[in-house]
Amino acid sequence: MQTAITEQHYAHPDAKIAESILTSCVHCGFCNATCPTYQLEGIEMEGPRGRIYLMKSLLEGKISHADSVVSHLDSCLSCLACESTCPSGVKYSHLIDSARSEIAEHYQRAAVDGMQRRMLSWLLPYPGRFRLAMLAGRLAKQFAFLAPRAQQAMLRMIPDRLPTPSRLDRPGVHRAEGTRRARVALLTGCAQKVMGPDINDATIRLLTRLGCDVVLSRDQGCCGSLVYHMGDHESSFPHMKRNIDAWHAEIDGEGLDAVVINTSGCGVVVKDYGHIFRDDSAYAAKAARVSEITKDLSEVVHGLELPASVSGKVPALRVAYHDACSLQHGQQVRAEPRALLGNAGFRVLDIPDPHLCCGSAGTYNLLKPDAAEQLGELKAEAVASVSPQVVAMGNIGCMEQIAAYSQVPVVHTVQLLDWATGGPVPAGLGDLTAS
Amino acid sequence: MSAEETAGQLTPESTDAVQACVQGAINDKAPLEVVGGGGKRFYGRPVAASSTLSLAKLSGVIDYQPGELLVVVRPGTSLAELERTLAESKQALAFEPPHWGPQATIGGTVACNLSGPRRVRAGAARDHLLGFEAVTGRGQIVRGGGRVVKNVTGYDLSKLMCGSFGTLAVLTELVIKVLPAAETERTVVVTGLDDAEAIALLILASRSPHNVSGLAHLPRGVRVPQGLSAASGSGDSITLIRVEGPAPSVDHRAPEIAGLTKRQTVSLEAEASTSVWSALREVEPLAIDPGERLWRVSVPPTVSATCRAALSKAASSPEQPRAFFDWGGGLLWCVLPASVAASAVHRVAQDAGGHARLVRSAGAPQGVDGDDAVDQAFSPLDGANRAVHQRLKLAFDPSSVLNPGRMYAGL
Amino acid sequence: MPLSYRRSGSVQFRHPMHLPEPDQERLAKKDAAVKALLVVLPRECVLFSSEDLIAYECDGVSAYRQAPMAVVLPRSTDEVSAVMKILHGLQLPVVPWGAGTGLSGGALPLGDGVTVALSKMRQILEIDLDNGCAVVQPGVTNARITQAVQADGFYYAPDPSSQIACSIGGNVAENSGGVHCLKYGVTTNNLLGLEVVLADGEVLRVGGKSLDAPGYDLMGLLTGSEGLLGIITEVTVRLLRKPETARAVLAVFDTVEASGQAVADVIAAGMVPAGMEIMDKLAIEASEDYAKAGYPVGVEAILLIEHDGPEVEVNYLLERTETVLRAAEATEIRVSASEQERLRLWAGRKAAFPAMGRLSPDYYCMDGTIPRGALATVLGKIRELSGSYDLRVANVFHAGDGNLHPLLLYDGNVPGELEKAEQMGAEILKLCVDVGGVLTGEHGVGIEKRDLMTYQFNERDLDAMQHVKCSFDAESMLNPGKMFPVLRRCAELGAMHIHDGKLPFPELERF
Repeated sequence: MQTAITEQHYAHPDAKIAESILTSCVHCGFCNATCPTYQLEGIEMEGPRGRIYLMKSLLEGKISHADSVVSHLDSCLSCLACESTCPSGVKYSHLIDSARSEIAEHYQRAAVDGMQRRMLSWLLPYPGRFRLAMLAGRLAKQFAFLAPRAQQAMLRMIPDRLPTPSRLDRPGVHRAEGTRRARVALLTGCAQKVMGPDINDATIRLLTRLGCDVVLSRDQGCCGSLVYHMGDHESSFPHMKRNIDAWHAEIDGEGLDAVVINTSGCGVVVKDYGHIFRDDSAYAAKAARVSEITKDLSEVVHGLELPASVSGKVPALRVAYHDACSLQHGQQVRAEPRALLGNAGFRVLDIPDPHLCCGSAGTYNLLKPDAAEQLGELKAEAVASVSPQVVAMGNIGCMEQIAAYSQVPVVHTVQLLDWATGGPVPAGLGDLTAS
Repeated sequence: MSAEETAGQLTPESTDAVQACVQGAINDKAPLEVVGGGGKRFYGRPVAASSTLSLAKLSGVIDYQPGELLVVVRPGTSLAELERTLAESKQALAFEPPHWGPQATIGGTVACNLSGPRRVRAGAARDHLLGFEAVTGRGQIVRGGGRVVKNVTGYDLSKLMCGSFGTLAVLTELVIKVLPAAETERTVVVTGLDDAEAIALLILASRSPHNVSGLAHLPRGVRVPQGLSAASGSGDSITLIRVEGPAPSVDHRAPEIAGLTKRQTVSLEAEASTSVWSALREVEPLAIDPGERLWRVSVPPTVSATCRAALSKAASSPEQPRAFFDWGGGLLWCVLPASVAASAVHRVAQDAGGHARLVRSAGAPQGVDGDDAVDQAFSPLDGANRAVHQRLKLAFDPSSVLNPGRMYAGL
Repeated sequence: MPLSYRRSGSVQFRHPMHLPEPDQERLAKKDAAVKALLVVLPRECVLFSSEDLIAYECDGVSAYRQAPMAVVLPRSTDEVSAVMKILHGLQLPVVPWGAGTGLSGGALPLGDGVTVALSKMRQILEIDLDNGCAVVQPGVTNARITQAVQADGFYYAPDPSSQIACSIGGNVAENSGGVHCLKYGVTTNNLLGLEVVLADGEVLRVGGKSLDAPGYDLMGLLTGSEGLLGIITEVTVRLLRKPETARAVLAVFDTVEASGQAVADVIAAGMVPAGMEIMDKLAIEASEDYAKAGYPVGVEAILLIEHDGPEVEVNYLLERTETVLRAAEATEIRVSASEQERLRLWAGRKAAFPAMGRLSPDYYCMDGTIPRGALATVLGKIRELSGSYDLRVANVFHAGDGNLHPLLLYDGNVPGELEKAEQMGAEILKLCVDVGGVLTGEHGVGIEKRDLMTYQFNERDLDAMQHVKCSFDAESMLNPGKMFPVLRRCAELGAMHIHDGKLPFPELERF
């Protein structure tokens, strides 16, 4: 589309990128076809084409940050299904990230909304605080019915029992079993350490079993995506830089074959570090280097291949595979997890409408509970329609969301692969091992 | 170029001449009965007109381009002649129109939107009219459509022309899509099925991937076309399914169709097959006697069997009316006594989600005993439809000179 | 590609196509209209603030923009009818909007009008496979219909390339086509019934599940009427059984003429393939660069033919097609032997349009139909025009039905280039008419080709169309400014109006 960004907006560092993205959009509307919120609402501004148009109009000075405008941009899941569908290669993610940052800077949020966002920024990236909050929250959960709608969603996500923290997840190096084939760093994240420590444990077990030295840097931690996607870029940068420094030190030191991410929501952002820091003279090169070698766990394991001895170790369970948006759209990884689960001996089932987000989308299910609920229910229905015994995925956010709406046991892909190669039965699947 | 006037009969030989006739009718306030070969007068309502505008002399193929799959033809061209011309290039009118007599013209066919058994697969006449030239009831020469299949330039006036029974304009030129004629055909015949079983089988066949091009059922007691009498038992019902195409394809698909039923089947080929479908196309099995009427009932296939039963109820007869099903059940040809009121027939058809038309009445055109049947030859339209029809008629033929009353009183 | 950018605070976009000036009297009615609309629709279904309207200021043709006075999003036929009654009462023009993906500006709003968007009416109401049909609301996308019935082995045949996003209501309004039109027809050949709401709010039902309807073919008249005769609120579509199999063959030719001749030969051999596509040199190069489908680069023309149907028949036809192609002197022939191979053969063709975006910042997709035999002539003339206008043109041709899509490559950020592209486009469309074709095969006239209508039709032809318009929408409230270059009033034509129940020529029998 023809684009005429105002001089004032053009001063912003993101302006040139925004302009080229807007120019690449031809307004064809194909993206609306796969957008979950457009599916729910049927209004142009609740689809990518309309959102792009709003962002264009903001940059052209034609509209201001009115409440409705911000609301339409807030309600975007950033699932990036639109990027997968777009025939013109529009890089929607960079456009919405930039717009969110502008909103965070210039838009005055309503008190509760603003406070909620600040609280999440303060809490989620820090496992220590987060864990304490979860424990305290278990009490508050009893009184969830008293809370306003928006906060009910948050309270509902608090588990009744918190898993014990991981013993493997300590700074250091886990040595490969047998011959070393690769040296990789692992991001163990933030919320995942508290809500799903076994995912990290299973990852470490699997990778070492396949011949990897797994490096847990002292300074690696939150990838910054949750805060970044809420628009607070400045607050996210310290997290990102810390990771970049930690891994780059390893690259420069003993070397790394890959930075492995087992939560696709983080994977998308870490692969984007190079773009995010492109104009930062101190970090541009390091960030690019780190992003270059960042891979989702499934990509790494697929490259290493499962050992032949895997067959017959586990029952051929019906496993529905759920494509996390950040993995299928954000990283365009679809085939590897399915291939691995199949090789491991499971009967892999596709879920209808796989392109549709489950509604987790980072902090979305906390900030936009109504839409998240509709999407969660749709996803649960879709899962149920293929009658699986287990549903597997590669992202903890999805796991929490789908578990809230579905009766089917939910696991991380890595837990099944770990089990198939000699690890323990994933929690919640005990009944299924009898067959 | 001038119209030949013979005691109320106008036979123009050019578009301009047609225009002059229409203009004359407007000036003289003298309505015209517009006919091609006059072979379909029995279909619909009679026209009270001062003179007949016959297009018999506005005939001939203007341009035939087999490679472009189209023929440009004058409306008065004999249908038989046109089909012979197309056959020479191994092409045909895919919608398989009935002739109903030797004087059938392509113009009359299009004006009445007549289509035969292959309509189930190839579409109706209206799906094959690509463009036209016509003289409206205002005496204007207009062109619509074009010579191409993919065309959305302006309103699709061809669809308005086709099936309007000459009440809006006099067609003077037609652009018709033609297709390669089928190379071979075979008909699978099953006997002894009752209406419901037969329709179920026809629906099964139409739902199959075997590209059937004919789906008909002749119930017991209906005159069997020659060529079938050997195949059928004594007075049994006969269900027919046709497949067409290159020989290897037909050889493979016919048995697949036969396999859809547990009953024994026979198959007809070549002449035996084509002659049967010709007979069905011409509605030969349903010749009517004095005091009878031939109705054409168009309903969703799934309800056609019950529709026939409902018509026998309307006829207050313990016996089912003589009828046969075409278009997989979508078309029910039915003979009813003149005593059955038209309104009753229309009610049955409309309750079933379709409509009915009186095609032929044996006896005086006004019907027997002053009944309403011919007056209500076509199913009544609801308010919104009626209003649009009225406005279209007023717009195209404000002086009501073209076939007034041919479809409905006032249209 | 280096982009120039404008830094000025406000930029004037010169519209080559004249858009009507909003009428002040109508604009003054906005508040009254919104108030009345909010009585029949919930708040979220009525948009009227500038930031809510801006995303609706254009459809698939973003070069033309005009925000409407309001947008309504009704959810049922009753709501559409209620809305139309209000707007008709206020004499405000209405522009229907399906999915807003049209390529002729058919859903471009009017500054003093209301856009009625059908995107919230997207339920599949009924699937009736025994009667071979489905009843759907207008906002259902084309692809979703097929999706809903494919498990049972059925599909909805007309498949425009925007099928995942375009609405069936829009398809009816534009009589949309697709790759398989020669064999399976366009939208108008695949419908059984419609429900529309007329300009005054009256609901009209035509057809249903039976194969024809009483009276005139109003359904055929409404199809392709581009939102000028009524708002479509329900569609009964014909469903077909999915063909058993499909196979494709790709043939390479030294000249475009040769490829066109090959098409004629295939038809002369008595075959009607499911699809036949020709791509010219630039289209091939662009696609190959983007999709890497393995198309030979540097050749003048590629012909893709697909046969579908029962397996035995497809194999037989493909063999015969191969023979014809060899006789037509194809320099290379590739036949698909598996579904994967078939998809691979098509991958390049499917990439043609998106690939253009990589060759050029903008491209203008044209849509005209010509007799098949005129292809070589037309492409030759297009090459000449391309030279004199200094704009590259890639050509994709639906050889099966004569629908030509010249893709004019330009850069909208270069002053005057859009206008140049449009001028060249207009010349190409006139050329289509000159060789016996038509201005538009499937995109519709909209505003894009409106001013060329007088090139294809004379005054009387347009009068006849105006008669139709007057029969449905006497006050021209629906989509004025589209399709026809001059807004005419019905009275000008001497049309008969029915005033106060008094009919002209009262002695004539009415029904």
